[in-house]
Amino acid sequence: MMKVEFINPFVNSAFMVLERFGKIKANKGNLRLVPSPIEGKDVNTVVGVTGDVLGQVIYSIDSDTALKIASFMLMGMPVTELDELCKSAVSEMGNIITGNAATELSENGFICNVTPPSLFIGKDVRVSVKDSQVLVVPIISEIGELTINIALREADK
Amino acid sequence: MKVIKTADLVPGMILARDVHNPNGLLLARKGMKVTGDLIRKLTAWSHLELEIEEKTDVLLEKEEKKLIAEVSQIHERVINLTENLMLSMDDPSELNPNMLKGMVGELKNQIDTNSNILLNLSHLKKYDHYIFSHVVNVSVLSLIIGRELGLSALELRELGMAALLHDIGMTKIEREIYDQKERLTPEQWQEIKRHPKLGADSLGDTEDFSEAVLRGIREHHERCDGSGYPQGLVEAEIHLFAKIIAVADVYDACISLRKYRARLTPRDALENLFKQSKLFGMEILKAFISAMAVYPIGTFIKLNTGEIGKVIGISHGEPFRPELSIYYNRSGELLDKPLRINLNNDENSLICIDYTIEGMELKKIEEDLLSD
Repeated sequence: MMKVEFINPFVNSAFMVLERFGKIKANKGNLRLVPSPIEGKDVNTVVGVTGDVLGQVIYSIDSDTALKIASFMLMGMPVTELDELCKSAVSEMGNIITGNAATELSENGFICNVTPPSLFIGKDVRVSVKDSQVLVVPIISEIGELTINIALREADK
Repeated sequence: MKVIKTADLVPGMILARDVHNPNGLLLARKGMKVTGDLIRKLTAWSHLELEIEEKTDVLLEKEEKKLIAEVSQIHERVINLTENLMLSMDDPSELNPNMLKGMVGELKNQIDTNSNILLNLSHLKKYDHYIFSHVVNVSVLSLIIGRELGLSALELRELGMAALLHDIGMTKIEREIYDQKERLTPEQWQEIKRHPKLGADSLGDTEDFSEAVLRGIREHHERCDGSGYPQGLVEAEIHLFAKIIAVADVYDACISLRKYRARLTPRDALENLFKQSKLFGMEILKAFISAMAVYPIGTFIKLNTGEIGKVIGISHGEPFRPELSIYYNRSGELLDKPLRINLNNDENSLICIDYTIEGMELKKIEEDLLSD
């Protein structure tokens, strides 16, 4: 069973990163539960979680949004293509969201190890997760939608 | 060995003893390197006291000290040579191109092998001799940009020569103007603006320098939107060397302390360049940020895990993942000895730079470290 305590750290952290680095105010769209596999967007960052909480979290964005995120991560540098510099900026956003979420999880008593985020490029990415259901959280702002796909469950004690 | 609380653990420390929870369950083993994962794991036991190793890798430290001393000596020597060169410019025919080639060659070798150390030296700003150290730092930065752009060895040598000589025209201007510590008057400013042409013209007479070197010097104050001087050239008309030197020149001037204005942090200096990207051209700026990274060497930063440190090394192609010296733990206490961590190691991937330290916070840190 997916608990709200697993979801909020990721959502809060995403809001914080957009606000802190991009000065962007975002809103949470309608949550929905979808069956696995997760359908990706142009750029997908996959994170594995083990420990008290198990599963995957995948951040998905379209190319346009990726360029805008890279631009604010790179101090306002105009970014026009999904090159190495752009990819490392998007990866770093994944690192920050995940790192802060992991800290919040541990402060709430869920100790977990998180794998370094890996980046997958391409709309046709399908990520199958062990859980049959995935919670999709759209984070909507002026730079487009950052979708957080969460498939996390509590480990058996 | 030293006893500390879990709340004061810093990534990179080594555990000197096994760590158990109050029920005797093993949490971490002796000899283990402290990571973000371990710190999170121990948050539930924040009152635990742990023992950590105090000894560091002596051999490595010794070798590094030696290396820093070597690079520092070369850096110093090139600055002195530059000083001699610029002070003896009464007669440009006396200029020895082979000596210049040697100086550029030394800088280039050091950039190929020890670019992090050299960049650290360039960011240690000294007050006096601004113009000579500035010229050398601009050469270091220009060569770093040129390498990133894939220039050939020959091109790099010419670029390095142009950079070392870019301000040579200053020696043709009354010394009291370019040494002046106050803001320049409009008349003095007009005079200063002559230096690119004066420099290139006086070297052009010697026939020792290629057209590319001379253009690098003559056009280094031209700007891509046509707002530069002396000719008001636009992007396509400005020589590549001049565009590279322009970026290096402005960046080094920004991070240097001058009597008439405060110094910018390396990150603010980069941001300043991007704000004026129309002046410098994206191709060069992109190469510059790829080589210098988002948090350049010398930047003080706060981590999302709370520690404060300084960027001391760049991993190529990883602009967000520098190597750091950590000076303060999460509680804001100064460590006995700085701890090094490389954010580019997988175990540190969730440790991120939260923000650049500036203003009063930076001043306090610099005072702390100076008095140390």
